[in-house]
Amino acid sequence: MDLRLSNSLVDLDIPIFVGQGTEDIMAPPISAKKLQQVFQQAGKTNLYLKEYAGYDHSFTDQEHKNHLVEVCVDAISWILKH
Amino acid sequence: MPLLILCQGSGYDSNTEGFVGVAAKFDEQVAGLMIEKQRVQYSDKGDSLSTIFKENNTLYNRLHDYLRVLQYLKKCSLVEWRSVCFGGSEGGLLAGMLASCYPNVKGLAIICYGGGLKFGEAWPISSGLQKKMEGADSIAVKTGEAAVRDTLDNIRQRAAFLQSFSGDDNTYAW
Repeated sequence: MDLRLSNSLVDLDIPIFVGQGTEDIMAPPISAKKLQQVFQQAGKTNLYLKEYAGYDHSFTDQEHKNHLVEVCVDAISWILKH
Repeated sequence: MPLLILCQGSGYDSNTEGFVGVAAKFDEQVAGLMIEKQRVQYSDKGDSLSTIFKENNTLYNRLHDYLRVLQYLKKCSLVEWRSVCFGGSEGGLLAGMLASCYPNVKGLAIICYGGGLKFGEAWPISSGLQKKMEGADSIAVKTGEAAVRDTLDNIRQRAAFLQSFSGDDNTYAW
């Protein structure tokens, strides 16, 4: 509850992918932005934030089409490539 | 072959089938590892909330379950040492914690978690966003956010494994 993940992630040098739906109300997008800021302020370039416009917490778009599998494939492909 | 460690989100459903489907798309490239939450079985749809789940489902228990299995796999030389971690929502937090304490994680992907705010900071915001979506006015939104902050203070003062605070549909225990 009071654990700030960014404090430990910023010490890592491994490639990090962060996928965030812009309409996610369960995990507010501001949290991913703050994580990105922490990395930028520390001069780290190993974090990649990808925002998915119009997607909610389960990566469903505003026309009720779910994209979760695509996002998972996107994320895993990215870490395997880097 | 690297080990792909998958971490599911919160709740007492399994969701493993969905992850297995995703992992199968990479079956030529990785071996997959996913550990169910305690007392949750493969393909569980979250129809029944068990006492064992309520008593044991904490983030640190989940982390230790993963670490115990990774130790066992290493001992048996069943997988290559290099691993990558992937998780969504609460599983994103778990994947990040695992990457932070398990030195052989060489890549991390987090989805729908954020990571910059503490859960205790994100939950009131989330509650406010939900109320706005339901059409609540700004006073009702602020009242709702304050109620969540009160709940969080209550949890901090009386943290206990056996008390749940988030309703029976998505139980958290501290």
